[in-house]
Amino acid sequence: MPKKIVELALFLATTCSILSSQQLKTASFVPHWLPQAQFAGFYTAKDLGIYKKHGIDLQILTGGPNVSSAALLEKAKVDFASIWLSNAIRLKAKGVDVVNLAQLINRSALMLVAKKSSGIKTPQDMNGKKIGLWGGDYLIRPMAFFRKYDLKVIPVLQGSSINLFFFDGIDVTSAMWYNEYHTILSAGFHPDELNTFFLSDYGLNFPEEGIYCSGRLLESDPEMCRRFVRATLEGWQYSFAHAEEAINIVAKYMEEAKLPINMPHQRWMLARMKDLILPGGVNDFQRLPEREYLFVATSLKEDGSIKMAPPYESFYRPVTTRSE
Amino acid sequence: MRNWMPRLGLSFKMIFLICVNVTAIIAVIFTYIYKVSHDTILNDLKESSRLLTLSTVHEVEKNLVAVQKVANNLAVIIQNRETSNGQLEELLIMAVENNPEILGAAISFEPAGNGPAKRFGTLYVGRRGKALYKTYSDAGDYEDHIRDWYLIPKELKKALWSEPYYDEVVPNVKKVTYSVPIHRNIDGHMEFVGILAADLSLDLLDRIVSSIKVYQTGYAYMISRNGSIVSHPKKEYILNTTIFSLAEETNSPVLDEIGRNMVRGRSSFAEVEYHNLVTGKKSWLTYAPVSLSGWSLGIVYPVEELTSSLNDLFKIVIIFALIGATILLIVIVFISRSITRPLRKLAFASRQISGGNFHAALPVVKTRDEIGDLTKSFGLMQEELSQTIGRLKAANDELENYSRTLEEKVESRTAEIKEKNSQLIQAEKMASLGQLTAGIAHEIKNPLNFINNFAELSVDLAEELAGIIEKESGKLDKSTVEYLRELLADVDHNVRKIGEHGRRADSIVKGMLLHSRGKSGEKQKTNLHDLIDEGLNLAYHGFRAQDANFNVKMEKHYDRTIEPIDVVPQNISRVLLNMFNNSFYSMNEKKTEKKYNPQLVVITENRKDRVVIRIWDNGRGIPADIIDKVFNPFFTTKPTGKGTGLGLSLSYDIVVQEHRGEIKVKSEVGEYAEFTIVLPKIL
Repeated sequence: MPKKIVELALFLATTCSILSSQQLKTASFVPHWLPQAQFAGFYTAKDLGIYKKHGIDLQILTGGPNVSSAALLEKAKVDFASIWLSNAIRLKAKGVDVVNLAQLINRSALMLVAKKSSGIKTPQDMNGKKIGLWGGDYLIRPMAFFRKYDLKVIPVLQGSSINLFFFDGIDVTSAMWYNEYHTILSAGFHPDELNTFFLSDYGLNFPEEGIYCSGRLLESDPEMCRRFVRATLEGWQYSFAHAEEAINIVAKYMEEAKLPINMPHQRWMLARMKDLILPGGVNDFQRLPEREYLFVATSLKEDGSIKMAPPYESFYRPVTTRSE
Repeated sequence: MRNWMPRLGLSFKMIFLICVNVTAIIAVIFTYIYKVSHDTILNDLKESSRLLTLSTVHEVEKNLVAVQKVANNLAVIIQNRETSNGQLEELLIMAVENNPEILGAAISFEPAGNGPAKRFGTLYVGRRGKALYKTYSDAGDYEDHIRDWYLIPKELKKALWSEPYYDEVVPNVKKVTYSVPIHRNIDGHMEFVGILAADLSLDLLDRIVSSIKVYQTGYAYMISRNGSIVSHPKKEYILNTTIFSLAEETNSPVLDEIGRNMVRGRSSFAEVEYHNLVTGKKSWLTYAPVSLSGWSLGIVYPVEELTSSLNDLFKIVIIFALIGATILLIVIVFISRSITRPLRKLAFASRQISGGNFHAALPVVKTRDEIGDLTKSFGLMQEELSQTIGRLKAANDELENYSRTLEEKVESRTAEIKEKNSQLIQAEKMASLGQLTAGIAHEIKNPLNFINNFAELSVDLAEELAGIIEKESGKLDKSTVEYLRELLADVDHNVRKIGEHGRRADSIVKGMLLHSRGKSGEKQKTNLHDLIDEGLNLAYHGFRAQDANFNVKMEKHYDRTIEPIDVVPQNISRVLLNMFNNSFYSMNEKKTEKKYNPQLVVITENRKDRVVIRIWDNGRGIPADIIDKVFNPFFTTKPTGKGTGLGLSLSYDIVVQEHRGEIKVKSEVGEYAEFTIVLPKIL
């Protein structure tokens, strides 16, 4: 506890010194989904004044099913956004002036989950089954998966809830490891009662969220872009180191957004984000490897989502090095 | 081996064991009764909880059924006839208006359908406060078709209740939707065209469930088929969490198991015990499914409160038991004291008795029981012991006496032996002296014979000379004759004296030789009394010859039973003569004293194998300092020439050595002297 106080005091001290020495720049950010521990790094950095310490007075917009972060960025209604790589490549291919400042997650958390009772053990067992799928970018890899195993499935478009899976309306559901998978566990299923298929285990890994802004902003104020990324990474580190505190901060934003708050669920989510963001432990922040980028771009091209793959160099503009 | 054990009194052991046992018995009884009562309560609870749970479920389902009926009716109407927008609107408004439990109703059509979807996607009529509102959404620009209330019944092709959720339009309103899929006969087959949905406020159901109060802190809760909390006293749980999340958060496998059984539609009536999430207290749980919606209702019974009346009763019972136990303890203490006190006193008395006090006081026990018997027996024992010890003491005294007498006897015996020993020494001395004397006597005898013979011859010669002188007297002058006569008379006198003393010396030497030679004479049966009389006469007349005035009063007490005994008569006669001579001499010496009447007493006694002669006189007696020496040879108190000092020595040899008898002397100077001669009857 005293350690925490000391750290907070340090933050405040640094913040004050920066405040006095330079003027805060206002900026905005939107996550690509509703407030939850999936974005704990951003909320924690804002709540603890880490952005301010880095000279940014940040406003976080609320994302969600009806709010597309990509669209907001495209419409220049926000400075920074978290966007999935595939989504961002589509934007870029469409000609939107968007650049990747940092790749947060390289390993995909997207998975398919079946109840063991359904008898689905292998990809082949899914043949002829009803599979719950999400639209948009969530659809690309499952479809590639079904193609890969030459499966004829009955796709059922599902919403943000996976209740259809609980009602046995579908045999297999899409799930994010850090989110829906735990929702299934929270509905009384034990891990040994489920069969899981991580798409990344089947050669269908898509790096997921990254931090994006417009190329224009990066040109005009690269310093702010760098500060935003640094502050965000600091926020993540703090969140992982102080999970309960971070969860409570996230809960505050969830409450504001009138969302149901399930603490064990958020705790799980933050823990999984740590596995995904820092797979090698402390400070092991990811870069976007060109090979992975090209795999996603090629997949999108094959899928027909894009016509031309944007060049890697113009897309990935990391403002920090890994050592930073 | 068990030395470490402290010494515990009988009373302590008794109290301890009785208390332990009574406590154990009471504990067993109480535990049994408690368990039975507890089980009875639990059984009653099972029945009452079943009733309460099922009636609550019924209450909840009543509301669900009401909504279901409205929705089903609407669905039938819409399914079976073509309706205009206005008619649909009217139907929904009517349904919401007339059914207060309905929060809102919607009709939603498939986006690409052939039906009313041409006109709109969803029509919703909702309630905001008392007012109603309606919204339309376009068919293309709406995502209702992936919402649970639409998608799930569509996929499952049946009417059903959704999972509870927050209303998208009215903030903070939690609801649950009953959706009926609408199928229409299109080109000869039934085709899904849309959903008719009716919302029910979750608050309404929550109120029903929350109204259940069980004792002080018991409560009811309801979960959805996913375990989502639908109703709970902790309102923050509702829709925020699931029973499984709570199990995860509280790390409770029991709760997880409860949740799994509940969502599987199982029932349980007060069979599960767990710590409830409101008070954390141990509780019994009852649950039953709300079948219509696939939910489950749980009722929590706090064990403590249920059993509190039982506990109160048992508290009272325990207080009574404690009071009883205390009384019992006091009684036991009293009884054990009444036993141990006399026992302690008896122990004290027995210690005293062992210390020698046979009159130690015994406790007074009036009770006619074992302790009384023991005390009585103890008293008897004490008495017996006292007597026995008394007898023993007497015997001991006697024994001591015996030992003392024995000691005295040993002492006297030892003195006797000592005396004998000194007598033996004396005898030895005498024997050696005797031998010496014999040697000397033998050597002196020869010259003495010369002396005697020549003395006698000289006498004869003197007589012859005298005759010659007489014959020749004339030849010589008168004076010369006279002178010759005188000279011859002197010679004659001297020679006679030499002869006299020579004979005397000869007799001494003879006596000495007789003494030393120890020659035993012939033994023969002899009448002792005759010997005594003979000796006495001889000695008395011998003295009377010297002095006619010598008179002695003589008494003789002879034991006439004495038979003749084996002795050497001349020797014994000699001894007796010696004795009598000494007595007469002693008395004669004393006769100068006035009023002196000499007296001699001779007594004989016949003993078993011996004869005793006692010779008593009242002469001068023998002084104590010389009485030891009287039997020594040559010891005499008589003037020179009157005694040889061999008389008693000789007598000693004769009696002791020759006859194996004894000779003893006892005397008091100036009073008496007594010689005792003991002779064995058979030599």
